[in-house]
Amino acid sequence: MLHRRDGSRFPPDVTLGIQAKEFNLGFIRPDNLVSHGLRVFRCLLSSVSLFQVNVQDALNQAMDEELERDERVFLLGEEVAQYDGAYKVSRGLWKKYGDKRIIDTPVTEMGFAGIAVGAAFAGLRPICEFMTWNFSMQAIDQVINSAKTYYMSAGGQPVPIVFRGPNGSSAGKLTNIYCFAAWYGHCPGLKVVSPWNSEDARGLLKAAIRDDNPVVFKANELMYGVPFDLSEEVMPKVERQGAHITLVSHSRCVGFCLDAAAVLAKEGVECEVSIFTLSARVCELATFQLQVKQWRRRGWLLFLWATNKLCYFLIFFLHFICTYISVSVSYDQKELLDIRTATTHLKLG
Amino acid sequence: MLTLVVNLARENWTICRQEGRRGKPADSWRPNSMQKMLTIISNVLRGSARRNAASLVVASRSYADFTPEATFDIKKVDLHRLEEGPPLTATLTREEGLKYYRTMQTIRRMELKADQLYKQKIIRGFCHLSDGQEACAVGIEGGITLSDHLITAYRAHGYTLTRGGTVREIMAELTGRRGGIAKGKGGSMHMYTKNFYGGNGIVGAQVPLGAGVALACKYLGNDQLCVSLYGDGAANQGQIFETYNMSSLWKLPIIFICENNQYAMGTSVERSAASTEYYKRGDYIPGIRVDGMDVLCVREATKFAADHCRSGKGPILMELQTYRYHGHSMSDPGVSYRTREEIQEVRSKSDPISMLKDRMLINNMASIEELKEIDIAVRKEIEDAAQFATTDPEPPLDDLCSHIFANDQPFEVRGATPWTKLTSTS
Repeated sequence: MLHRRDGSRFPPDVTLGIQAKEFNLGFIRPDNLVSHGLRVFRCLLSSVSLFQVNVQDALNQAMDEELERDERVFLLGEEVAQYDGAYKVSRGLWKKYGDKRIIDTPVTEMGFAGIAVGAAFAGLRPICEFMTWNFSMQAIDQVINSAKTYYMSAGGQPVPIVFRGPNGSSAGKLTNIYCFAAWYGHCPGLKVVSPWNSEDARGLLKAAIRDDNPVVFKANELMYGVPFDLSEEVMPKVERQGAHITLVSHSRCVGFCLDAAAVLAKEGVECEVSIFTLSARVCELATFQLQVKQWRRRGWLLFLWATNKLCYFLIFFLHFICTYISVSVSYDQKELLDIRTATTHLKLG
Repeated sequence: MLTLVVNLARENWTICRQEGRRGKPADSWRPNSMQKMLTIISNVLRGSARRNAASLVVASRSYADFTPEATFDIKKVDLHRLEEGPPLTATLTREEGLKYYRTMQTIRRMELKADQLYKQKIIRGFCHLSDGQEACAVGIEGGITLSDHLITAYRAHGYTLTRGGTVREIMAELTGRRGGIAKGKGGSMHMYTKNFYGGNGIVGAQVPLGAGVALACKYLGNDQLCVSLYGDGAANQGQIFETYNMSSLWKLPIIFICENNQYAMGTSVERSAASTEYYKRGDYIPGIRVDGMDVLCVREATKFAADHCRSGKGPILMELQTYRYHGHSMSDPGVSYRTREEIQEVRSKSDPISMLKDRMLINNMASIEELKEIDIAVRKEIEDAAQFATTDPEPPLDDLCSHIFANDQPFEVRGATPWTKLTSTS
């Protein structure tokens, strides 16, 4: 998505200040030496990118590198230290960095989210992990109001914090499975990112930790175990090229779009699958709009409540922006929008 | 002197009798010689008295004659899970006394001026005044240093001043002008200075933030501590108990201070708390209950608490029993849930400024003229600040979208309609 349609790239500093070229993968852990070796062998044979890394390992690498790079970065959350992370995203970090920098908290979201924000006030760079974003509702005041401080202090008090955690649906569950991208995306001053594959996850987490602003980082639990090619240069891209329909999505639904594209390809419909603006913040549509002019048909597969008014507002607004931009280009591009949401309206919980 | 007067009187009495026989016109009053004499005598006496008094004044009020330092007995504090408390006496030097007096008087006058400006609709929005609670702000600052950290809730004007803000900046922030401490963008509840984190609108949310600051102090190993204030209303918030737990577990250098002014908005403490002994609510955290209207009590208790934290023993809780004269905010008259007599009683018996003033005068640490001069200077400072706050221009429209993100590239911000585009230049 962060490539122009003709294949050229946006300059790296346009989107969230990611300086992708700095992130090189020179990190091999002993426990995966054998599998790493096999991967290298396979890649040499097939001459594709060098590593296949799960999303959870990619996040682990990102945090490890940032913890090493900057003394002020530290991680706190439930089960992040001695348990190696509820979803093993922080595996090995406590053994490497110790109690001071990887902190296990009690099950008190509002308390520890507030403590994380306070630490950011005082000059540290915390990563606050929620076990899932559903639990962040208990602490939502601290997350949202961390975003207001820089504005209301007229630039005097920045808040360099990252809130991280899995978001959205999981396997076989009825509760703790809701997507909060739209909720947080509405908050001015808060950057919200929702990556799909390992490349995006790694790059964006590093960018988020280095960013001086509050960032809400939403992963997906079911993507944690999925391996992706991770190239040396970490650069998010359009996942699949196509000329007839563009499917735009974020987080796990990108995978569904790719599956759908594969099915449609058999029927002769070529789909382009693109990751929805990696930031759910509508202001960042500046990047998005540059592509809109060239699109033919669009379908939206969003990971939200079906009848959630926030969701519809977001979709409506995005549609309006896209339509508005396209109107000036060509009339027949107006009949473009087909909204589908991946969830039906059932219940909260 | 007496014989002179008697002789003069005798002479004049004979003159009067002679004058009386001659008769005087009724329509004009000329002082007769007796009256003239009495006038002369009284002038002489008054003049000499003035001369003598002035010389007396000069003689006894030279600065060398003021007591440089005095020790006062202060009220014993109630202790929870502590063997010893703060000392029962406090030493006050003349300089400290004058400084505390001036600061408390500045806070008082500033709050009253804010009241006046609010009623004239020059200040709008929220305005929570802290007159009556000056001893808390000044006493706490006396017990810590400017390199320590402090965070409080919305009744923050006094703390902004003690933490390094100036009256001009504070008043300009209240009126929302560009000369304000947050350039007019923060308002009454969002004032920030170095090591002072506001000013927070959500009741109780500042307490975990304060613990986070304390965590940073411990992480960086800089021997600083954080003072986290909240009121008797906020003391029932769940996140405060979560914070007690974590700060005690991790031994964070934090002083929790509950400013108990007896009323949470309109609800008295008896109606809102099952246990009104707020200093015991920390349970496993040691606590002390202090008279918050006496600046020396507050100062000694804060020093004691700061020593406790800095020695690595972890958090400590202080309850300051204080009182606010105004209502909760400017929209609250403050008399629907308490009587005027109660307010008057507190004002007459426990006013912090009067208490300090009496102490200093009784012990000859300052003269009443000197304190009056301070009052006049403070009044002038407040008037100048109010003048500045009223005449300073409001922030420019370009500022509307600045400071959304830190260290970011300029980006476009959607305005109220899709075709209004504003630019954020951060």
